[in-house]
Amino acid sequence: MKTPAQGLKILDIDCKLVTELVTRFIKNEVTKTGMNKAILGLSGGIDSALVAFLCKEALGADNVCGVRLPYKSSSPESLSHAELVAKKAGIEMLTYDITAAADGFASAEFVFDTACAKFKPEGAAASAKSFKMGATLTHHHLGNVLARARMNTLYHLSALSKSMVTGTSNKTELLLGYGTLWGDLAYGINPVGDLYKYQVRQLARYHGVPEEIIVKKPSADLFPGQTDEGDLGYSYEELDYALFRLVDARENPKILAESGEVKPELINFCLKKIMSMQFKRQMPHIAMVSFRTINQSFNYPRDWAM
Amino acid sequence: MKQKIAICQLFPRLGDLNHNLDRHAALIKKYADCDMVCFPELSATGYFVKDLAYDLALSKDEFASELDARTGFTTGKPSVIAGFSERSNGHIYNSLFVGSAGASYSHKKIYPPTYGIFDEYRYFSCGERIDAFTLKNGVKIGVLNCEDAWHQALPYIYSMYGIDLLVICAASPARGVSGNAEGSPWNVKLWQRLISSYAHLYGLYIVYVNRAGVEDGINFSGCSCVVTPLGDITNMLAQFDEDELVVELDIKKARIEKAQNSYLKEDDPFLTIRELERAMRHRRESAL
Repeated sequence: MKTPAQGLKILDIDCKLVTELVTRFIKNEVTKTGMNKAILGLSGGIDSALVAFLCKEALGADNVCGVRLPYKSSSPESLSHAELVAKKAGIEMLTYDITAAADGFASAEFVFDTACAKFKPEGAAASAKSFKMGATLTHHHLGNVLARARMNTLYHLSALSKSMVTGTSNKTELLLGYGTLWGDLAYGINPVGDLYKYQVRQLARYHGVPEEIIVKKPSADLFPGQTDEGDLGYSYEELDYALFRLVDARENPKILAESGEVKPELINFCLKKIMSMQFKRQMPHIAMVSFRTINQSFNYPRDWAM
Repeated sequence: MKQKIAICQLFPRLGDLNHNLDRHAALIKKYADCDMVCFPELSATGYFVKDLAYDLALSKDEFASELDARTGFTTGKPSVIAGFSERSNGHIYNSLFVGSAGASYSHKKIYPPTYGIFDEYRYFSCGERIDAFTLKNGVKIGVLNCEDAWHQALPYIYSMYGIDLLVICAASPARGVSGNAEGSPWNVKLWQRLISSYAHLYGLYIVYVNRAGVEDGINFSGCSCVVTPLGDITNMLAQFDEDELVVELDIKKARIEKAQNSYLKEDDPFLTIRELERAMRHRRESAL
């Protein structure tokens, strides 16, 4: 029986070829819109680091801007790693601290103008007339608020500088829904969304992303010690291997479980996530009443006459 | 007998018919001294047209007039093969325009693929005919539109017409990048294997005209090429990017090759028809 590490060889990519495809993707999809620049959030992690290098190669370093968007709890290491990426890639760098924006959101009250019996946050007294937004923010909720504050900033900077907001979600995250809707999942183009984390690492090495960024434990950096793998309950190697067999190789989950090559509980975890997170990968439903319903029977390419 | 061909590996602008027709005309004028100018599948409209298939559809005569108006030539000087959305008998087809010697024809794609990233049959009807064309210089050609070429009966039928040259127009999306890809997407390798075998088996030249560029995030692989009647791939055009190339084919070679081709000499199409019918009967009966 193969160990996941050996099995992962089937995910190996031809880095030069992928670079050729992805840089043409970036250059074409950015310039078709009339823009010539890309802007992206630089978290200090490997995904945004790789996207920065790919954008640089596609558009030229001075047409790429990495934006550091720290919150007060962000680790200093994230900031210094982001700077390292910008320096090594030679791209422009901006910093906008989202603490005031996020804390401003948290400090405001929301007021129940009516009884709102069914719309009160859990734990609120039935008689409560208002609520401090901040009191409702768990780690999970705060993560979403921060992701959306970052999205808001990037889209404003995009409008100011006429540059394309470039996404950094990889295939593993997209399949598992490990991202915030209208937050980090909001972007104009995504150059790395068809690459598993394992492949992101391979391509990052090829492009000279600093090794300390490649080897560190991926983290959303909401609180000290947080890691993606801790949140998800499995290592990226395990997840990538299972997802590849299920999604790319289209193997029957039952037979795959019986083969013993992927743990049954991991298969179930992946399938459940893939299904339940489908909504994060598609535009919302529109109630159809006509014969020409947008995205159902009114179907035009996104690059329409561009 | 020489056939001078300009292969135009275009990157059409998706849904901008005027822009694309202007580019066709410019290239036809540029290569006016050639016998033939070839463009990829749906070169006039772009590939992922979806509902634009209907909006941008023209009859083959309208398409010919659009080209003539822009080039100032009468259709077919040089012969032109180009891809367009065709309106014919009230249906829309993914067609290849064949203009030669003042006359225009079309090949309606027989197998518009509808699987994976392909959604053609949703928008296009299926063609039902295979016709060989004799150009004004006597060269006999057949044309196939991308997925058509993956149905081996079609090149076989063309071989029965005794064509010298098969032109395959394509819009092949680049995919497959595994560690052993050796610099080319998997689909490029599959195409090369396929057309190399056809050329060799049927003793004919193949001109494969694929498109370039990116549409809706999808790269097209380019790598248009010429295959000799011995199955050798020569004259490869650029991978992924627009490119143009003029080649001169010695049609005599294909005819000599064909005359010596023992597979063709001994092939019995009537046995094929007979046994195919029997096999189909068997398949139908055993499916009950």
